[in-house]
Amino acid sequence: MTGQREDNGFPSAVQAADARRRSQLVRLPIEEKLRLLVELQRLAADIARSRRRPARNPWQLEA
Amino acid sequence: MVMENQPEAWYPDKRALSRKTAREESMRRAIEILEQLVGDGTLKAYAIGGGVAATFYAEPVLTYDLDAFVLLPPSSGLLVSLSPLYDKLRGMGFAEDQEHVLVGGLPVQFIPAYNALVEEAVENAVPLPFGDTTVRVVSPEHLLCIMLQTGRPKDRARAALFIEEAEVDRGRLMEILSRHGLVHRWTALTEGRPA
Repeated sequence: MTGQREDNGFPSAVQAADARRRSQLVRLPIEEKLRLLVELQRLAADIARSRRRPARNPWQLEA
Repeated sequence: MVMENQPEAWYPDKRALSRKTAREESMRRAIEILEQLVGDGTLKAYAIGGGVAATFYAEPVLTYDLDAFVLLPPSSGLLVSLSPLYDKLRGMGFAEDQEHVLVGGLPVQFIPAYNALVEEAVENAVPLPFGDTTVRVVSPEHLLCIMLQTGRPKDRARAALFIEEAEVDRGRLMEILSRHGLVHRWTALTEGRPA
């Protein structure tokens, strides 16, 4: 792994990549952000089910 | 580990950027309904709040409903009642699902403005473009103040992320915080200690 480490050991290159990605997310059009939100809901539901925990249903949107 | 050379299009479906989606249509429908309810006098005003409002200004946050803060028209009684609103929505053919009303599958939660800060947030909502329409969204400064006032762990976490990402007018924020007695909560958040 390349990249300098912060005092807490978390690699600075990972932090920088994360910041870049979040900056991209902030600038996306709202329509695209909503698409990602539904993907987040699906991901959260998959994880909950895989852990046998109650899952909240993602939005079942009609076209 | 890939860190430095992340592809530009890191999300899975680049074509979806320009495609009209079911999400867009449901949201557009919800906006139309809200505007219609204001137009016919069922509501005095509305503003989108909560996680969807935050998503307008910052990265998408996990949420499960569309919060619509609403100002109701003056009534003869002392108690605020959502009955006329729900009667109207039922008449328009929308189904209720617990505390939500489903609009094109989108769970919309109508929340009467419950204090002076939220009332002010609705009155000062920002009209933002959504596709070829406009939606009234709580301003970033009011949204941050509501998060601080509500004060649940998830609100504090959202607030911390929000101040990093959203464009917030600090002067306006401080003015609202002062007026609603929230400066101590802001100071605690920025200093990273419990309120």
